[in-house]
Amino acid sequence: MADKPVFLAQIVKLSMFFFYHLGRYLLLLRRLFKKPENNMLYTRELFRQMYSIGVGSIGIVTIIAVFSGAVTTVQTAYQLVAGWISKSVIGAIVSDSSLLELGPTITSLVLAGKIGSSIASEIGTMRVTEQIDALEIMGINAPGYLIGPKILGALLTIPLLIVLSISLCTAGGMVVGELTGIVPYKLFVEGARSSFQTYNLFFSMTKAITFSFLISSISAYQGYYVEGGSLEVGKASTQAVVYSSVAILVADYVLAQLLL
Amino acid sequence: MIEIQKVTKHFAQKTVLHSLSARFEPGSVSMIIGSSGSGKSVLMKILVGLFAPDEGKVFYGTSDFFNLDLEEKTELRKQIGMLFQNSALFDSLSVEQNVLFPLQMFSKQTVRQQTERVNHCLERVGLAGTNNLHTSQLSGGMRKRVGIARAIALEPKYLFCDEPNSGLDPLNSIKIDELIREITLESGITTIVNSHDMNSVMEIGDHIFFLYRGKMLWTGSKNNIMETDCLELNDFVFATAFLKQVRRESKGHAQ
Repeated sequence: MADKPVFLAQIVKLSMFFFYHLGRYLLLLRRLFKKPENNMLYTRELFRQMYSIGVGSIGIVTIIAVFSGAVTTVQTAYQLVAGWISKSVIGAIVSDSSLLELGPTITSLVLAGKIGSSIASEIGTMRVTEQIDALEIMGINAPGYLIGPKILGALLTIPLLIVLSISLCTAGGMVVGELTGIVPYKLFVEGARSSFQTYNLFFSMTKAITFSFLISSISAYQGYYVEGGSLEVGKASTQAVVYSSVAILVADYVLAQLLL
Repeated sequence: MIEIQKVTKHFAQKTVLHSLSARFEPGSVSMIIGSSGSGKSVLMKILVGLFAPDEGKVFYGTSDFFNLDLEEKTELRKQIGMLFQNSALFDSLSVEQNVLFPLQMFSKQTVRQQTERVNHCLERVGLAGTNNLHTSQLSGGMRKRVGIARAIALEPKYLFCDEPNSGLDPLNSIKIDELIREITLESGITTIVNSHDMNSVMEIGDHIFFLYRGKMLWTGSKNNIMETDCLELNDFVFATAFLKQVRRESKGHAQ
């Protein structure tokens, strides 16, 4: 009984913490919607971010996607013990898994680690070295210039990376199926084609866009409000990855519940 | 001209600035001095608009800074240049791009005119030909100079320098001080320097404002700082045993 007030106090404290950060996060996002001081510099920054987020992540996305597809093929075949089930089912399962979960969610979790930490540490370092103060004193809308192009860059490139990931994941599963003799590629393609639904692609892209926004905005928020020195920048970087990943998983469930 | 009227600032329950009033004249270097924790940096941040005062006003000419709307503030900020303690150069840009940045963002000049202005600023701070160097290739003194070049790129009416000599050797400190003074006199700008380096104060301080625990305890010029009876200022200025002895001896000679 004595623990009850303590427990309630903890709940209140956690709620206050959550709403404080949610409010500050929304106020920061509101500051993005101001007219850019110079369109050319903002566009240049957008392209720089698109290159950094998009091209810079192709390698890791490729490796993750190919191996995820390969492992899914092997594990699906291992679980399909009944001889009367057509092996084309493996193609259907691998392609659907790639489209619905492996492509968007796993890739986004990996990108939360790579891009999220990079965004948080870049902005955090600018904060502690007074570069953000320098922008503000010059009369530049610092969130608009620093965070806006990162979010827009992520929204434009991460869905493309996820399309690449879905394709490579399916291809990886197909190639491994053929090379190991688990399932001939013709049967694999037949299964993948038979199970394909355009709605699943829409669902997958909805997830991709949502996750892109969450990764970039949460990480930018973590970096923007860093106080202290390099230790705090490291901490913000870690928090960016953790909070982005949690947000992705929660959004994944909410979207599945709403759209499927 | 910049004027502050009864500026007060609290953080949590603590009052860090107590009703400060001062006037900073154009064409001269005003030094805000005081030991660590005296409120110099907070005052500087209020002056440049990074913090808002809880009470009091800050006037740029006749404009009440904290009553301006966003557009007016942006316009005014184009007239402000600032040199930061650690230079605050943009890491991802070269020397040229750092100085070019405010010009690209705000000026209506052609690319050629902008490049000429960058070269002029770099030449003015003694860094001609360093355009393509990356900021990581610069020494502490060079970073300060690039910071000054960036601060003067838009030909500001107001220049703020936060601890311009921190981390510099005595020779480089003198060069930076001379540069700040020359630029101030050349363009007739209002320069405010935040420092606790007494060499700097005696070298370039036209008007001196001494802060002690958030209060403006003394104002005057470098010529009468030596004769002041303000105990706290004496403790600050003649902090070392050597300086205390110099003061005793100079008083002895005077008598």
